[in-house]
Amino acid sequence: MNKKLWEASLHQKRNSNLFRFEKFLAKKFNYIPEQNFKKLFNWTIKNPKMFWSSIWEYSNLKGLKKDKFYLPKNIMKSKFLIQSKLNFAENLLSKNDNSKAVTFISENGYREEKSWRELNYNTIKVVNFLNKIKIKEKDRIAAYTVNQIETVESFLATSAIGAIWSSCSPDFGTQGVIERFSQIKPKLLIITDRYYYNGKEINVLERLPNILKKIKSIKNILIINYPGKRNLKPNKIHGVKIFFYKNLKNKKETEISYKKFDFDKELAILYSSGTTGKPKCICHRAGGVLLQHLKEHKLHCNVKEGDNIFYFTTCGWMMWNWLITFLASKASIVLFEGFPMYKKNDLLFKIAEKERISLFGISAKYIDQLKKLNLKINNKYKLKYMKTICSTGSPLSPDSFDYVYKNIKKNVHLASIAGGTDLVSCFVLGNIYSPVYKGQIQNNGLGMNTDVFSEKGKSLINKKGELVCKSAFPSMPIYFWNDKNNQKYKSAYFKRFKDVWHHGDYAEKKPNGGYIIYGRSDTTLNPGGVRLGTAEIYSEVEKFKEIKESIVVGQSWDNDVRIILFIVMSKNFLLTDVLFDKIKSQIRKNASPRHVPSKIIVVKDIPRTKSGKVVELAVKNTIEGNKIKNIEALANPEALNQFRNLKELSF
Amino acid sequence: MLKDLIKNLKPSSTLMINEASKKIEEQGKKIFKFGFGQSPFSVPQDVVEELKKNSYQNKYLPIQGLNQLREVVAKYTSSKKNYEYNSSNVLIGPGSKELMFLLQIIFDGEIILPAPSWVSYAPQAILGRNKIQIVQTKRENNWFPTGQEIEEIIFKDDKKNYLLFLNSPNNPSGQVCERLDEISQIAKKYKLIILSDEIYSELCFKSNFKSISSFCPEKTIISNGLSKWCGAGGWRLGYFIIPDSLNDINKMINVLASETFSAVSAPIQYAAIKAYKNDHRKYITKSKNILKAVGEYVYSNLKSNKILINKPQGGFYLMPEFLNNKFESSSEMCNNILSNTGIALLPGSDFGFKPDRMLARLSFTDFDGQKFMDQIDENEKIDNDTIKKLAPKIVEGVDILNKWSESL
Ligand SMILES: Cc1ncc(COP(=O)(O)O)c(C=O)c1O
Repeated sequence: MNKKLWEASLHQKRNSNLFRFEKFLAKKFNYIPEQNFKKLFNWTIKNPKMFWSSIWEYSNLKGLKKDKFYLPKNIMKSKFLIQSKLNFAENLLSKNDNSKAVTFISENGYREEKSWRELNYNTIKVVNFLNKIKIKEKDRIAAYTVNQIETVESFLATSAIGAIWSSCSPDFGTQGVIERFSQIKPKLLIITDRYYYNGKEINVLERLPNILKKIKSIKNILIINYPGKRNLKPNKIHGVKIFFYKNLKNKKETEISYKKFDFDKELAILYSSGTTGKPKCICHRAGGVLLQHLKEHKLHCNVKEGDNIFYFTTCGWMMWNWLITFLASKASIVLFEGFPMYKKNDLLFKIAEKERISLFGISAKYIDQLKKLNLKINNKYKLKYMKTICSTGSPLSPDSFDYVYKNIKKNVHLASIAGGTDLVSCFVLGNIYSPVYKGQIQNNGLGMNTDVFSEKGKSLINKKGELVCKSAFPSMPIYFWNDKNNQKYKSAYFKRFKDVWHHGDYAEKKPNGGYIIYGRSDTTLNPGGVRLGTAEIYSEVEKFKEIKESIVVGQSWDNDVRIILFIVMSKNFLLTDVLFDKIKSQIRKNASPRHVPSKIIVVKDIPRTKSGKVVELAVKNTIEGNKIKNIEALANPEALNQFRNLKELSF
Repeated sequence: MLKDLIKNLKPSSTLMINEASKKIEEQGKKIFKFGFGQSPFSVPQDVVEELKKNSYQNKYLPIQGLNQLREVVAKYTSSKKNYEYNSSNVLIGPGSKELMFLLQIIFDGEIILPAPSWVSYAPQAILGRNKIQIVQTKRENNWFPTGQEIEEIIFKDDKKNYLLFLNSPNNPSGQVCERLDEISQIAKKYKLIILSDEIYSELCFKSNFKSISSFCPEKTIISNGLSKWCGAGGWRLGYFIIPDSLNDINKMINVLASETFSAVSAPIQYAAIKAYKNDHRKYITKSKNILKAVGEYVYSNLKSNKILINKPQGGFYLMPEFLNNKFESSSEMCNNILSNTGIALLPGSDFGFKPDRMLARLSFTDFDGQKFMDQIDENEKIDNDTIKKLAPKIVEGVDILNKWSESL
């Protein structure tokens, strides 16, 4: 059933960026604007070159644009705007005046604001520092930082000189950080000395010695103080130079000439969840990401100059990258750091009202929580400026759609959006022309030939299947780091279907062009909407001599996913309360609090394939009462019996 | 002791850019000769042999040109156009440029020059004391005037005679005129005749070159010669084909010729017979393929959001427009490019464009045409690797220009 919840007014449609873009196309090509999303979408699929080139022109990017493309059948090899040149940072620093560019707010209400001029100035300051310590093009800079303005400035400076950025938030444990950063051999580590979560202060600097012991490439450390707090001092560390962010100097420059790099210049390395083995290092390109984000921000989110953008994220999640790029649309961004319900369940809305947020982004999980608490936001907050609410991280349930319109704001564009780290952007999201239907994501992204496939690769409508993308798009990874012959890259997306991106989301496509996503189709864990890999849990569990073997799965639970850890005890050991707590605390410390299992259950045996791989999917299907696929591949199918109808999993 | 009229003329900008280039070259810097348009190819061997054989020819030849030559030219031309010309319509001169000059001297009326036009039309009109009317053309019209734009000029005073210079394929734009029918309608309607400068017609990249003469032969003078297609600019041989309907013009140019150059050098005229009589299709096809490939290489590698170019359709040139507001005039920009990169270009203002339009002419002939021709087969597809090998300065120059344009 399609229940229409909202539709933009004619006035809104006529004043939308989408319509302006249509008129822009009409001037250049044989295109007639009709305010019809499907029509525009079809045009973008038929004319990818004109489309992506038009995004550049419509956005007035600084740089040299060459309309050269290579779009072969094998979409992995595609190239967009070949030989075009631009500087990512220069385009994000789209203004240089005294108006507000970026705001920081911590959970306890501490607030800082920087103007565009200051942002430009400070970025140059960091550029000078990076030059001073001889960071060169393509060198990696790792950031283990809080979601603060200095992190944004560091990111801008890194991209300004063509170095590669990679960030983790401080809620990642030491082990998680080492697993990620050690793979890319950074020369500089930027670190925030501490952070706060739900009122608790956590010292991050303490972790430095362990990190440095494991990542020898780090020769320089730049320490940022937590906003509004004095710097914590580290102990002396042999062999590395330590600098303090607040001591960096600028020679009064407010403008520099930014070197223009290739469109495909590396921008940042983001990490896959690490389902099998170490987290994969996905390397993204500056031009492609910029173009894709501009498309999503301007055309899909209808963001305009001067809008205030909020997204609840940390710099360890792709939505952080997505948030920062809003600067390229001349919008100002608001960074929040801490626990979103600190002392006040509706804290984020208080901020939204005060900061006049026009686009409010949160995770679906957060909306679920508001709903559970039955908060009536609209009774308390005006939210006059809020035009758009974006929800991502996991599927937004139909009830939550209702909740938003009933209890947050009646006249708002609720855009459930979905994509991933793999593309630092979206496959499916919203638009201002089409109505919002309950439980549905509005449409594919322009230029993204997304579809839902059956196992056999047939296009499905009104049926669940695999989310795929049949067209190349500019924000595909350039490559995976340390991936000879693109083997990991290829097998991550192109193993399942020929020349089609297989994303690993379980989805359904509606005849009106809408999408419903049901979660990951593989075994990645997704509690609270954050993709987690099982490998990080396994690597901790393995350390216990008391445990012989383990398997970890996500159980669909209460419109979310909870992590269940099954263990086989070693001979002569029992799962005592002490051990139980020890397992949990070790996972919390070394992986992250999000990785901590909700249940730990002892079993006698774990199902394995004939080649010895433990089969999470079979276990997951068993505990959820589904049919098991491919049972003949198992070496010990009888092991599955213990997982059936487990009492512990019913509460 | 100079006439005012003469004093105001400047030496041709093509020559000036060469001098500036030489100075830079003397400082030991590399120069990219993208300013000067000269055929990169050698004269076909059979024609060279014929010239050698006829070096003893020492007699004055008829003013209008050697009869045999005029016959082959008439035949050659008639076979290409659907119009019957005979030798009496043909007039041989020491380069088509000289014949155009004489035409300006005898013509009484106004000269319509599209912008862009070849650099010499305007000074010649001034020397002929003819008033010049410039039509600013548009990129979307291939840089050619529309019938309507021409009519607007004539309409103001349709009693006068008008002479339109139509040069297709065009120097400097490299474009081919498509609105021939519509322009011919205007010619038929008014006292307008057309000088169709077809010096690049053999080098039109598409095989079906269309001349305005096919639409209004009675009102068209065709101008052509050996300079471009035959690689023989220095031989100085060009011709006019003047239809019977414009016989007065034919006669008067003959009179002026007899009082100035008398006749074109005899050995050259004898050799030229072979140029038109022998089958040079292979040579021409190869020339065209090479020019097309090199031109398209430059086009596709140079065009960007900052450099607008129309795809070249014939001849040696293309005309990039560098979008910026850094420079006051196109000549200031070309000077900047020359001194910063060693690339010589001609500014759009030399071709009649308003100085603040950042247009320039780029000639893509800075390569050894003979070597290029020797290394490829007649119908070989010329890929980028071949161009990199055989026209390295073009490739390098394009890279450098791209870099330069990043700063715009
Ligand atoms: C358009 C145009 N017309 C005429 C000429 C002169 O040719 P000729 O060598 O026959 O005088 C040139 C040569 O530069 C030219 O570019």
